[in-house]
Amino acid sequence: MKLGAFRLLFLAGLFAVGAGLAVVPAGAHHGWEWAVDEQTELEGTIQEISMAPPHPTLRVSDSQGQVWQVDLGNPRNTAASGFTAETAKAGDAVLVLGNRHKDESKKHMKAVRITIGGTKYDMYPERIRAK
Amino acid sequence: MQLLDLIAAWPGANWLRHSGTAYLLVNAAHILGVGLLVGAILPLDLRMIGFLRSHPIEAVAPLLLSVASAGLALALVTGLWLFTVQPKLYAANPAFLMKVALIVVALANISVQHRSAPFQAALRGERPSDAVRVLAGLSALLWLSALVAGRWIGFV
Repeated sequence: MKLGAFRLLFLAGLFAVGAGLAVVPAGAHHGWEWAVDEQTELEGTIQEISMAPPHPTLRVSDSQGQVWQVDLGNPRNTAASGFTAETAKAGDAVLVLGNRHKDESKKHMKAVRITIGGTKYDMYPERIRAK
Repeated sequence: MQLLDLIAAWPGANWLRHSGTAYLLVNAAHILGVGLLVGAILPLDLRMIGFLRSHPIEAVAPLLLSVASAGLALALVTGLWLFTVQPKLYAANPAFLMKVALIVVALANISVQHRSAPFQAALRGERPSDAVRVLAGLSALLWLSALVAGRWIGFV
């Protein structure tokens, strides 16, 4: 099939956009590719709880006063873990087990389990490598 | 950021924050809107550029334009609604800002294209002018880019 100049130009444009996108680094939230494989613990104090979809999150300050974003499961995982908006409040101590962001400058972690007041809330039970 | 607080406080946003099912239905309606928009505008843009020549423009354009505008309306309404669930989060998300910018340019492109006499002539079956073909190509690239930027929001 013989392609006209316009059609070639359009295909070139499409290719340029695609190639441009391919070099932009993809990041966080969905999936686990953005987080390290190893699971670590974060001990801190809850500053803020957001139950808003698509991902409930906690803001947690650690002992050095650094504030972390902790992604919980999706709304259904989170509800299944037993954690609700009423479970905890700002100021409560929390222990987070999860996978942190590959970029260590980002204080960002995806939780598989959070522990508050001795109760465990398992977001991703199948992923937990128990400590 | 008082405006964003005000936006976040409307009852529709509260409802989506408290009902996972409502959220996913509005989310699905947004995807439907995007699907109708891109699914209809892409073949029309391609036809204007010069692909798919076995289908006469005057035969396919009326249906594709109606479907695309219905999809656009649905996507805009549901998109704004979803934005209000966490406006501060989205306003700070580079992929979201890029998506909004792409949509603004794409809407401006629509208004330029639809006002042009050669475009109206093309809808009646005349051969699309070079300007019409360039703007049609731009339209396809802009909407596809907005789609990708939208999907990117969750991966920033």
